Amino acid sequence: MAAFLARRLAALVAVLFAITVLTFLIFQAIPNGDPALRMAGRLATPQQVQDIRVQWGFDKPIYVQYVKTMEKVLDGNVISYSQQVNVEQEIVKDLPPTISLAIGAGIIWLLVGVLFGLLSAVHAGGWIDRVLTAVALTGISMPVFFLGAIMLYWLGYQWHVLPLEGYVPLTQDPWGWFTHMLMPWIALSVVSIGVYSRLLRANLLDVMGEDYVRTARAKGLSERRVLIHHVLRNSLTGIITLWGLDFAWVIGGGAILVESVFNLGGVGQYAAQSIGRLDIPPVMVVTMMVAAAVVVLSTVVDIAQAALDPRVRLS
Amino acid sequence: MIGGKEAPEREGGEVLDAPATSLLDVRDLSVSFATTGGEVRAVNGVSFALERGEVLALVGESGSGKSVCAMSLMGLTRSPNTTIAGSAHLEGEELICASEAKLRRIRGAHLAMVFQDPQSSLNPVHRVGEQIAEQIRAHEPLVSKVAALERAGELMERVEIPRARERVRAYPHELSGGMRQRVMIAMALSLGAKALLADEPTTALDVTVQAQILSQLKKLRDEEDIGIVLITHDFGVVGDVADRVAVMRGGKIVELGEASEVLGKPEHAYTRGLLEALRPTARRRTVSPEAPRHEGHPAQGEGALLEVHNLRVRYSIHGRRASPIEALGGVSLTLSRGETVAIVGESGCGKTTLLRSIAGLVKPTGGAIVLAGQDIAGASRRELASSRREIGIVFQDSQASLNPRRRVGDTLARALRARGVERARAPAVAARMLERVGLDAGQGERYPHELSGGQRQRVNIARAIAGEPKLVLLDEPVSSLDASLRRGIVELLGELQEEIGCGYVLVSHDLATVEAVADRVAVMHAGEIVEMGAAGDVFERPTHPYTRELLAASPKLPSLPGGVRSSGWADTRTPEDQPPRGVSQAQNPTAGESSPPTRKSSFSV
Repeated sequence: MAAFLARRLAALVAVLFAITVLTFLIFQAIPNGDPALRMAGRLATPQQVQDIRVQWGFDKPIYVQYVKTMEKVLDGNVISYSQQVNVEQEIVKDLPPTISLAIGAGIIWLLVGVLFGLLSAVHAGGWIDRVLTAVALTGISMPVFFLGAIMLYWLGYQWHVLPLEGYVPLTQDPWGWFTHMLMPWIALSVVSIGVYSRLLRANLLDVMGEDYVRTARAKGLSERRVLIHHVLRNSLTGIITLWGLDFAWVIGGGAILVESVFNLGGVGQYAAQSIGRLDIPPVMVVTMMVAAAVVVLSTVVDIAQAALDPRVRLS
Repeated sequence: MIGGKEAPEREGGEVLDAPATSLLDVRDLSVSFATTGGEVRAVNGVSFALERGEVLALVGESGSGKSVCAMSLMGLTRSPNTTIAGSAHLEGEELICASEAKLRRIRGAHLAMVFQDPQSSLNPVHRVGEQIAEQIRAHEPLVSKVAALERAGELMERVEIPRARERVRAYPHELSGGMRQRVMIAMALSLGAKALLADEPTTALDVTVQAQILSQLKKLRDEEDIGIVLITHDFGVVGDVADRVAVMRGGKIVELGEASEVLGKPEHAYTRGLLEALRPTARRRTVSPEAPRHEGHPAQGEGALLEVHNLRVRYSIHGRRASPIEALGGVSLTLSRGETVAIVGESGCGKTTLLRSIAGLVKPTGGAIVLAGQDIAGASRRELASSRREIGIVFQDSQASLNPRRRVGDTLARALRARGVERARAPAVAARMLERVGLDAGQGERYPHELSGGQRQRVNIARAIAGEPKLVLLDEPVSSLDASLRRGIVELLGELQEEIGCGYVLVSHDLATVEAVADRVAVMHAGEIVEMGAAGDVFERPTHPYTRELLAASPKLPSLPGGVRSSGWADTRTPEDQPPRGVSQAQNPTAGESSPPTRKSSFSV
């Protein structure tokens, strides 16, 4: 276990290094990406631009710029080019909405996805299965910005059932937090519910054909116990892998669309704005967050897999 | 004896008159499945009675309905698409019409079942003790989990699992195949069931393990008075343990009687055919076409087609510090042109590794493999590719070794092109080869699932001999086929060898096949060849203790009286390689039964 964690930690460092270098290089390659020009403003003289360049170190070789930026990132005092505020403080401010979004939606899509998958598989071929299949496919094909806009229009603007947009801290007003998060949760979950229920349905049907399920019935177990203890338990591994990665993606600010549609002011929205401004430091930090979240969550998933299936060895 | 169609009732009307005395009384059981290709009747009016303390063997080939019969008694075939008719009484309780809830109380507690493959029949993610305890608690909800686990330990001790108390906490993958099957038997005993349905319980096991499991079953019969329905395709197993035998064919019992009588004096032509098929025509030659051979000391040097010298293969287990596994510890072997060497031994003895090394699929850690003067063991990729053209391989599973999405003619044509036949000529050559292996040229248009198992194996053989390789490796080529099909394949292999002059290396569990085909036999044990010699010598005068153990463990069939040998086999045998008609195999609900087990270990000599 310790060796496994050490290896994963080493992998994390390697991934972070690779991804920061790549991100940095991409911004060098973007046309019209010179940050000095942008910071100097439209009416600046060439001398002013040159001064900014020297002041921020943009005149140095690219690897020196990279090392300097990474030093600041790791010290926690990297400044964004556009607004010239501390990036990490910005992100800490934006984290609560993003984490609220990830946890709530993650629970919803996992539970509803498993429920739908289970119902579909048990009634495979029946009308429940057909209805749920239709629902799942609709969900998968529904763009978040479209579903979000529809919900905002009817639930928020027309019927006043739920607040229109923004984020209320949980500590400040739990009910307000809940009502503000409900629509984003649903919007984010719908696609995943579709994917998860289809995947689980297929897994369940596979496992139902296994010999040990026949054995379980031959032992005289109740159908419910056969289903939960033998079929579902052995079908969960694929779902859990997927869930870990999806969850990491949202935590790392991947739910850019949902955060923007509902104006949650989360990490994803911040990343989207920073990309629009070609602002390297925030993009670097957010990218690192996503990478770190994916590595950490996949480690957690692997540990969970080993707990679920004794044949899996951590290595 | 009544004519062919009805089950001859050798034991007379007694049993039928007094069903209450029987442990399990099955009458006129019929099972049919509704499929898109129409109704398929898997079991058609089967009647038998099982007494306490007896083993009744249900024998028959794949698709004869024997498994469906047992599963239907357990209620495991119940589904909207299945029609089950007839009656079955277990200790007076009706099974066929029983409600699901009532059946659940009977299953596992009064009527238990042991399945073919103990590996797949146990849930891999639960500890074996928990799986036994779960059954106890399903029937006796008041028993605490701790007490149930305690009882699981006792049961595992009773079925003679070594260090049973510790192994309560083991997962299935941590146990050997034999121990897993013992766990299944312990499970069947856990609530004192008096009737046991054992569906091919030893087919997936090695012969020595098979002998242990069979003696375990005999012990249950003799000491605990348990009645056992033993489903098997293997007459050797029948001869070993069965008191009475019911022979099934096409969903019907064609013959039923005392084991000694059915095996010794089979009344029904089909039974005679089955028994006869177990003795493939011996083809042992005295002199091989080319290199003259000295028994036990095959031709060395120039005449040798294949020479394996001191071959070593070591697998290191990734991520663990445990010492690497020595799969082959210095194996030497020689093969001449036109000669057949058989390698026999149990799972894990290294015979598959040896075959794979020769095929160039496993990189040896030491030693040499010289094929027609060229060393394969140390060859580069490119050299290996050219020497692979001289090697053909036939695998056990005829279905899995053909691409399901490619017509078999295309498969053959590709193999021919890979071996240097021009693109334009390949289809014509492929058609000729199909005819050569006993198929119609037109069958090249078919997909693998549209052919029967025997036909598919013929395609595989055609592919292996495409381009006339010098060496053909046969990995259990007939093990997954029914006995009545085996002889045809064995004969075909012999003819092809005469024509092409290729050498065969045969790996097989089935000593009957080995005896019929092999010139020499190598017995492998723990990565080494422990005995090697002319086939007749090894079988008749084994010198190594392990060989003797292997021969002793294989269940023996009582020898047939002379007159039976030339029986009406020809008119009773199902037309060999008859393709499934009407309903394709994919839709055939009995396909589950006909799907070949991973490894058959029927030493039916």
